[in-house]
Amino acid sequence: MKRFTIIALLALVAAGAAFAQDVNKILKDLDELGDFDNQDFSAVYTIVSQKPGEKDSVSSVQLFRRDKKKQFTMIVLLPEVNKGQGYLREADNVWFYDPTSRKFSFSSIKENIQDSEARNSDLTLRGFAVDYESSGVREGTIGSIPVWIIDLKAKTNDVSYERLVLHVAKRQTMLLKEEAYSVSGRLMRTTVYGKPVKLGDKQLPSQIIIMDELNPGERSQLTMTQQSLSAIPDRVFTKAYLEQVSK
Amino acid sequence: MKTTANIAFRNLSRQKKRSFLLGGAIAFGVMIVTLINGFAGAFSANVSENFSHLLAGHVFISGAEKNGDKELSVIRDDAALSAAVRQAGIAPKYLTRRSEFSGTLIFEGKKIRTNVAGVELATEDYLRERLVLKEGSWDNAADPRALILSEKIAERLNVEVGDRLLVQMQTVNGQNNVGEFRLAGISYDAGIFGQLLSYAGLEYVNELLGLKSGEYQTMGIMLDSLKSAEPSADKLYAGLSASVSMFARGERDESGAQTPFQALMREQNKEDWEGVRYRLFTINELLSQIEQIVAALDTAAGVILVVLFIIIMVGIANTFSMVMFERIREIGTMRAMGVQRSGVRQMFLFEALFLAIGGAVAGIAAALLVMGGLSLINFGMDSPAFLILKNGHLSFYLPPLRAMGNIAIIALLTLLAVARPAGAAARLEPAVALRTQK
Amino acid sequence: MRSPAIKTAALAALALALALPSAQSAYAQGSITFNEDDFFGSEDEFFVEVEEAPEGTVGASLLVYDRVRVGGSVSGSATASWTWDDPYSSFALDGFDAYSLKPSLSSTLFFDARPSEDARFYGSMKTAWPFDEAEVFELFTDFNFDEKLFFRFGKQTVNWGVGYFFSPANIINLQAIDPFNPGAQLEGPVSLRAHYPLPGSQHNFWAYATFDSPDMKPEDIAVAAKGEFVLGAWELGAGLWYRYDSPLRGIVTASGSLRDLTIFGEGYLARGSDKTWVSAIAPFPSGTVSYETDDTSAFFKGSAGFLWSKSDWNLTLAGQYLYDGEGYADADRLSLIDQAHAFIDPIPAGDAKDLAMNALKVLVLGSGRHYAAFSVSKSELYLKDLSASAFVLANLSDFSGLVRPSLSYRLFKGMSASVSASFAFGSADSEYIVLNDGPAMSWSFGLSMGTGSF
Repeated sequence: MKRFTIIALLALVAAGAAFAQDVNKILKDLDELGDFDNQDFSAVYTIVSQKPGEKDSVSSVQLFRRDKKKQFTMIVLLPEVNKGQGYLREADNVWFYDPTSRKFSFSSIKENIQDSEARNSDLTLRGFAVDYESSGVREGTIGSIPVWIIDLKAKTNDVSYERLVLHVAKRQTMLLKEEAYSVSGRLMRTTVYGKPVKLGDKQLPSQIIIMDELNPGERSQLTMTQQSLSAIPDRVFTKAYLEQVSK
Repeated sequence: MKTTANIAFRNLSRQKKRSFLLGGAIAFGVMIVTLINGFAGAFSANVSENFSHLLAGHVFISGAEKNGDKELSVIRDDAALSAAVRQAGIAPKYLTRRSEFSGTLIFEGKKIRTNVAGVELATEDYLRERLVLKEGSWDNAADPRALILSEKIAERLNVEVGDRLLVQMQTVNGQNNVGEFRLAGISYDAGIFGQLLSYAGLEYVNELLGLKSGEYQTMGIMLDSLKSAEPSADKLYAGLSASVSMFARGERDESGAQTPFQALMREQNKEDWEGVRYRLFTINELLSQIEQIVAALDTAAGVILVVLFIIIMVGIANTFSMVMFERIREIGTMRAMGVQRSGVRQMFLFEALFLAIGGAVAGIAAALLVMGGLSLINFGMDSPAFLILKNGHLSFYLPPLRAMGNIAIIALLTLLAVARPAGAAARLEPAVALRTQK
Repeated sequence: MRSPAIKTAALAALALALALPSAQSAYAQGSITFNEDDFFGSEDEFFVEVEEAPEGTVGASLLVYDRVRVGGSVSGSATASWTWDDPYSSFALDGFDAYSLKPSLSSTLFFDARPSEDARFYGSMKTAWPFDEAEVFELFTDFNFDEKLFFRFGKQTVNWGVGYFFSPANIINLQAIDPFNPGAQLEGPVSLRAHYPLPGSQHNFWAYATFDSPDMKPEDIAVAAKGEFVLGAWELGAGLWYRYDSPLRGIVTASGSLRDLTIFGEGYLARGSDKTWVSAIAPFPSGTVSYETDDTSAFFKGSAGFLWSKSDWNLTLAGQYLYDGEGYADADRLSLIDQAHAFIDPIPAGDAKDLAMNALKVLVLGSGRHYAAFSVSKSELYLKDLSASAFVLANLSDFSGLVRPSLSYRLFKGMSASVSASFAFGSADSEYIVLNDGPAMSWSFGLSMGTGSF
């Protein structure tokens, strides 16, 4: 009996050690899944935000990014009033095209982070594996999908959320749900990532719903369509393109 | 010259109705400007004095701790500070210790962003004297999670004394945090400053900020009067510099910062340092930020004012153009009798000058009367506007130079408005003028 | 998905999109619902298929419509106004010199066909009550050579200038900017345009051939070229315009930012001018007007201005100065106006006199050399739906001008009310006094109804 207990214990410890390694690997995988720094990326973003007692607001933009060259083009699709407005940005220079006057206006922005309120509030996340350590892993399901439920605790106080609970699909490593907790231990935000798509060796969700847990009923839904990693033609990052696609 | 002035004066009295109308318009404009000036003159002083009570200090010391890139606002050990205050010989009435955060209060789907000051609610007697509660009582303040809000904020959140509300904020490290308060009291509304007047217990605010018990962010030093703020600050700064590491005091605008306070912040961001440093500032520096809020609100009033004056000037210019035309034969006669061109021009300019000075003096007199009347009313310290009142009364201060300046500006603007019609009158050829049919 | 790049991309888009005025739910999206089973699918059908755009076709979806898009805008208003020509000598509330009620109803309709990535056809028409005529405002087609050289042929707006109230560099459009409505689209000529964005940069080159009428000689074609260059935080432009027998024109533009101030400037230089100047007016009764032209002198126009807005305060300021080298010299203006009076004054009051006065108005309109415009506007003034603005337009050569303060209030979506006043100032015979029949004051009350676009 005694021997049996020891063996069982050993097995458990071994399983635990193996698992600790797995968790780190899962976190690293998650971090790598969506790194697009050297690839063009384009998609249509539709954002619906919902607040109790207010009409939903819907806006939609077509976005093109080429991070390598600091280029960015955005065309407004919705709301109808702003349809056809376009932004072209290269480094610090921004052109705005207004289809109602057929005029480009030019401005230059020197970002002054010191003055912006975002200085402290938007701490950059360097990656789960770097900023957090696991404080417990369970198995569970979400919908009909078996998941690891990983409880993460911040390694330092440099990250926005002290505690995160991640629900990661087991078979195809993929983050499905993230619960973010405050320092005082209160659930602040739940984000669910659904309808994932595979793009090359990357995978990313095409629908994200952010639920504000402190303000019940406040939700935003971000839907991505026409996602693509294909090279964006150079013409997209020109004034000619803004003019052509405007209404 | 004297004769020209006499004629000009007689011309004014000849057209009593018109002179009255124009002079009245000038007087009205000047009265409004003077009232605003007078109000603004006393405004800063009143706000500063009232604020020094609410913020509990005339001079403040805050601590900063830097570790790598990150700077935290905290005073962990104030032995050196207290000693320096004792030795500076500035006779403080009392010292306060506070922490503060800016966060979003949430109650049943309603949200509002506000500053919350963590104070020693149980012991800060002076706050109790100054902050009159409309609802609730200071007895509730014993609750460690007590919160006191101003009337307007409470109204917008639709929250009543006893309700529990959430606050979403960030720790000194920038991490998200959520706390829960219980509303202990509602203070009388303080207008636009209402958002600066939410108070909670220091212990709990520290906990939410991620500070330890006994730590705090800002030491407030209350002096006998606002006047001693700057000299005391200088003495204290000298004393502190000897014992602890201090930031340079903010100078006015070199880096393009809009306020001394921002200059201070900016300079401190530039420097490369590690460890613990303190910065010292006065209520005046602190309020220059509030003055920006006031400035924003004033722009609206200012725009209207400028338009008002442009319209009055337009009226004067147009009237004198017409006056010139009316008197064209008279001018012709004067010129034929040997009056020089400059004489004609002077006559017009004198006329305008008398009008402007008469109107401006009348306007200032009217403004003084209105100020006198208004300052007799006692609004009480529980009035919504108590922050801008002096012991419950509206108070005005019109710097004499300002009043003189206003008269000079009006005179100048009027002369400018009349310059062209006067020039035109002077240029008239006597023969042409006499021939002209009206 | 946890990549910072994508996360910031999503945030940036979210922030930008949310900054736009919210649309009514265009499609009945309803509330956001969340059902775990639907949302996450199953392990076997985990990924949703997405069709990757084939290489080189990204961005094409916006260039192609599967059917012709038709849209437009309608704007309606009614404005009542009262004018006192000279309220400063005698004013009575019921003593106004003119009053009117102007109902207005106008609309723009457009079609936009994009059958393929490389072809687009666009046209728009404008009409206004009483709908006597509908004019073609734009009609053009887009095509390109190898996605490198982009052509647009047809009636199109050609904005060369960067000015806000005045734009001397705006030499191709058929209309000049109306300082009272600086944001309006300007009508352009029929022209062929080639646009070449220099690969690997944001420098652009344009070449134009413009046509005056459907029936013309080859030599009547006007040709023009413009280049725009990005230099640090500034965008600089230079252009040339030429037509046989017309003055050769050159322009330069510059725009950039100084902190949060947008600054712009324009210059215009031409050899000769299309303008005809009045050189003399014979006295009553003949009134013969002599004209002169100038095909050889150099004419310069220049302008500079700024735009500043502070969104926290809902405040926008704009100001601009214009030097117009084609204006009359001050002494010539005054002498001409005197000559005009020598002809007009003896005419007995009646239609003939009115006609002559109108001719004088045409003469003084824009006759100075120095002009300035300034506007300040503030929305959410004390109330959320109340906005106020003031606009000053002045001729700095004769110190006359117009001040127009106004207030408008949005009653509800679809209807807003406004009140505005206008004061002309200046001495007798100055530009804005003549144009307004005196130092006029007028008050207008307007209702704008159901204005919108679709």
